[in-house]
Amino acid sequence: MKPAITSLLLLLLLQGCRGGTPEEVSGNETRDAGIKIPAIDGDLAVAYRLIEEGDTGPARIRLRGWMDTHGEDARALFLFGLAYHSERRYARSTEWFRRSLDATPVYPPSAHFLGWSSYYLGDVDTSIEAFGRHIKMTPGEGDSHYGLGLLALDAGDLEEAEARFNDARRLQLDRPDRIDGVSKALVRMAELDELQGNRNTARLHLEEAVKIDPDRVEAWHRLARCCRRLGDDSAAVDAEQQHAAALRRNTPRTGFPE
Amino acid sequence: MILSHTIMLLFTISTAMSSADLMQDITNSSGIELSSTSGTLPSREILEVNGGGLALLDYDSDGDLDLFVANGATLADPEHGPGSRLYENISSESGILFKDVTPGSGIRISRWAMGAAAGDHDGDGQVDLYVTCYGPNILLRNLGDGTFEDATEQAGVGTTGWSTSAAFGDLDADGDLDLFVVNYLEFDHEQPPARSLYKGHDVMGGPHGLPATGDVLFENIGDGRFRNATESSGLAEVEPAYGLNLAILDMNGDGHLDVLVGNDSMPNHLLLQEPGGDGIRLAESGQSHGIASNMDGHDQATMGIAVGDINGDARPDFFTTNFSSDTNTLHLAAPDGLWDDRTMATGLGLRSRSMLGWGTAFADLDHDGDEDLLMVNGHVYPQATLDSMDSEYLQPPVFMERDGSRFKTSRATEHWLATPHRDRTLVTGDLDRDGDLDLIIGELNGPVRILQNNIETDRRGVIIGLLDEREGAGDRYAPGARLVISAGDEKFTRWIPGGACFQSTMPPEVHISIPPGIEMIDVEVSWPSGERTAHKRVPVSNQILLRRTD
Repeated sequence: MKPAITSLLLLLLLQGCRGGTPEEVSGNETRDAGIKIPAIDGDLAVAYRLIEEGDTGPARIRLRGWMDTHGEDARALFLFGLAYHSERRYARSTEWFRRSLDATPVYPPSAHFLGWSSYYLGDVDTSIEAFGRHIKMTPGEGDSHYGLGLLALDAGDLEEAEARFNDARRLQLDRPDRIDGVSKALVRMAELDELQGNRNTARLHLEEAVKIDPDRVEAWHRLARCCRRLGDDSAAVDAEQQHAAALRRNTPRTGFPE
Repeated sequence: MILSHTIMLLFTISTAMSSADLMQDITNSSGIELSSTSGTLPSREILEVNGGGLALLDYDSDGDLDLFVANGATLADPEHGPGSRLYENISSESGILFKDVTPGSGIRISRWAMGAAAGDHDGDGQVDLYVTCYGPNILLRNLGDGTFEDATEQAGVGTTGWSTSAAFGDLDADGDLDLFVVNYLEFDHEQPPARSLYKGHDVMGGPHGLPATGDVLFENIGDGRFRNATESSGLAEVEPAYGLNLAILDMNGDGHLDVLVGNDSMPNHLLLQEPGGDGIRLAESGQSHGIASNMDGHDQATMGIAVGDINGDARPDFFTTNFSSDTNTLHLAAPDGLWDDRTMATGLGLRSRSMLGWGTAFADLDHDGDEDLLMVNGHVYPQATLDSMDSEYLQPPVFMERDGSRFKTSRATEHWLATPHRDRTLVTGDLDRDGDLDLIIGELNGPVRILQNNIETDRRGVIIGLLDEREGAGDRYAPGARLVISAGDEKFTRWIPGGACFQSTMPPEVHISIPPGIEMIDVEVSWPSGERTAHKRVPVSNQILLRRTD
């Protein structure tokens, strides 16, 4: 998983923005809850772009200035959290996401990111609560279902995990901007298949994952193992090569000293 | 008056609470008064963060477990630290007690020591010590009179550089113990590497950016001498990695000992023996066996290795501890000879993300019949806080209790698990010979802690050791052997550890707890040579020694 990159992309996606700027999505409504996600515009949009470009320090300075003028605003507090989240400093990001959730206007992505930051801290209870809160605000958000699926897997509730991964896949399937969300879900569905001894089904899920998302590094790795165990050495070798190529294109961040 | 009453009351409460704990810290009365040295605090360089290993061995052949502590030095003078220590176990009915016998033992290691391996390298019936160091490693030959001599040169097991762990094992099944040495990286304390960044913070440099050094295999050629078999075994062809730890046992059930090397931030090495040739041949196949990395193919910073049989199939499963902001990892052996990462599915993943784990062991501390999981923790970066790095510098040990096929955090409020430390390694062993497992934990620049097991259940603890008494047998205590033990309706699989933990050596014996009323057990032993012996209707006692004779 690539939390920082994925999350930043997700931010765009949560706003319904397909590669555009945050301003372009002002006033977007979430698909099925009717909660209006307030726009990130003006100076907030500039701060957002700085975060996206990795200039998190300058982004925070700009956000502080903005809040000095405008007061505590859920969007600004969210961006503060996002800046830390993108630095993988999750203890700190959770504080800001929490503050954002206590502020106005209601900004649902804060709940989603609180879910992920807490997940990466190993704070299972907070993560479950935050993802659940996000889904209540935006039921159509597949990635929060995905997060809950992982937490169910960790809790040993394979049935719940399967349902969540299926939801994550279904909710994002018809959205070209959510290909990575679908492929992530497919990879985990394959994991459940393997746990239940359904290796052929696992292979199908993994093949679908890499077909729609060739940069899904872990999917290639898992597919290679799966094919090897199914006795299809040729497919395994191909998947291993694709795994190596995907790694070259997209080196995963390990979390060790950079 | 009121104050004294209050103090008395607090004392009483404190005593009552600690006596109810599963493990009780008895360091203060144990006779071990050592605060280890590994550079200075706060640690500035990577050389300072590993700490020193421990070895539990019966050096004086009196039937109990003595303790060797590998002690470090400082960057200012890595060759002259306070010195490694040897403690004789002089426990009695009144409790666990050790005596520092270093001065008269002939052990004079002031060099920066890292790890300790114990084994009878020359087949004379006395357990010897191999001490890994920053600088040349040292083989200490046990002379059988309570003293050791430096036999490094004579034995031909000298090395240079920085070695972390080592273990003995009869890899070529010729009846004597070979020696595998795990090396870390090239480091020059006079020219330390440039500093690095972690989560936006300036931290000590390495391991990334520093050249990894390859591991070394010494083949025992008899008479206490070894030859360097790194080239001839194929080990030299394995890409060097930042090695920290190893386990020697028969990984794939083919009757030959293999080696698993845990590497820091690089793929782990699974070195399977290729039998049939002339001498030891090792082939690296960690990736294809699924044990080099986690299930996503991501390399991890493997520190500790624990070996156990989690799912009751008599195959070796491995638990490895890793860096913070990553999970520890459980690799379960599958029937097809590969390993599957089952960390998430067993509940071992998320809760370890804030921990930086080191020594670890499967152990039935609570005598409920299954093996729980123990790990000691502590961050490498002194500036680590939850706020700055999502992980505290001081971290408590973690006890994960088996819950069917899963694990759950347990007893976290007990004193021994509630107090954070800079822990690095641990060994388990029955120090007072009462049939349960006690603990020794090594802390970075801190005390070596002794924790006595207080368990009281109706199940009975049994320690089983092996002794190969056949003529010419050099690997008398059979490191790497597997024992499958049947006690009534229950079955247990255990391995006599070769390596594992972290830079440390467990005693050459296994522990189980059996249901009440069982008077006889059956034991099937898979010896390092690949041969199997069946020991039927073995009378149960706290200590069982299975002898193998001609």
